[in-house]
Amino acid sequence: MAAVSRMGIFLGLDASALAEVLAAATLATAQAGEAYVCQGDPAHRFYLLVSGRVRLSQVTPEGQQVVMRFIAPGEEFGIVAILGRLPYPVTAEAVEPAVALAWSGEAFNRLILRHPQIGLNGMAMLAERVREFQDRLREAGTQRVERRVANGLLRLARQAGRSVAEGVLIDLPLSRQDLAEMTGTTLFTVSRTLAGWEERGIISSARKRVTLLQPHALVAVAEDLPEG
Amino acid sequence: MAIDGLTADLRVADVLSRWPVAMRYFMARRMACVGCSMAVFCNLRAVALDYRIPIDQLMAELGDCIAGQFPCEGPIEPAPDGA
Repeated sequence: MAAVSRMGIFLGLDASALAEVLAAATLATAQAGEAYVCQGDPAHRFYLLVSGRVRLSQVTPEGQQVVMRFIAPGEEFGIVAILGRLPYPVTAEAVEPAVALAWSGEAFNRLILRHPQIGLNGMAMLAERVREFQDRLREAGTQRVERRVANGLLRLARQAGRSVAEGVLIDLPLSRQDLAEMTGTTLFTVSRTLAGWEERGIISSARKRVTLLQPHALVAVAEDLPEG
Repeated sequence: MAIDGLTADLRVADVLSRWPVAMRYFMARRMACVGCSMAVFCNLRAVALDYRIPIDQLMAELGDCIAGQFPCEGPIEPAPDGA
């Protein structure tokens, strides 16, 4: 329960409210590559990731898969379920073994009505998500591709970064294709950009893990700062 | 000026949350640290390296700023070597 009480959406709830929240939840596990929800399916369940990583992606009408974001422990997905009668807009797939708490949309709505703090916390989380998507929209519209890739890596580092001896490790399995889809560019461009940064010692990548060796140099690219 | 608890190993985000006035120093030095997403990862030692300022100088100036003695209120000091 201690871990759940630290999750953003349940901040400020007392022990009895948390017990009620947990009693209404079921545990949902997924292996790497297994989907929690599929785009277009009726949205019945709302999830909160406890461990592992989940990738949200969407297939466009033209058939192109676009990675929307990665979900880290403590973050929610499938919130559309609480609105009822809507399909999931994205596919949520575990990229490593994952455990999530799940509630039916109706059950979660009842919890919100009984404990309005959950609703307020949820709004704060969604506001943060909207801000992130606004930033990405601006980047996609205005920035040259190298800045978009730098911003993509910084965003992932902020979300899933971990300090290690060499710098900041983005602690999720991240393919170049994922990064291309996240930043609205091509695999070729991402590969070329990352190779250039690796040569300059700004990042290193191995086994689908990227480490920012010089975070400041990446910020300089992303923010178009003068070269040091 | 040496400030109790201010060390080169402190991360920028911790410095800013503990001494919000330190923001003035980073801005006066034209550093991109305020609002930077990497502020939770970079310590002051890394900042000194990135901006090519001797760490002792950065610590002294930052300490002065926190103590209200660095000329942050007046004209903005250009960073050395255009950094």
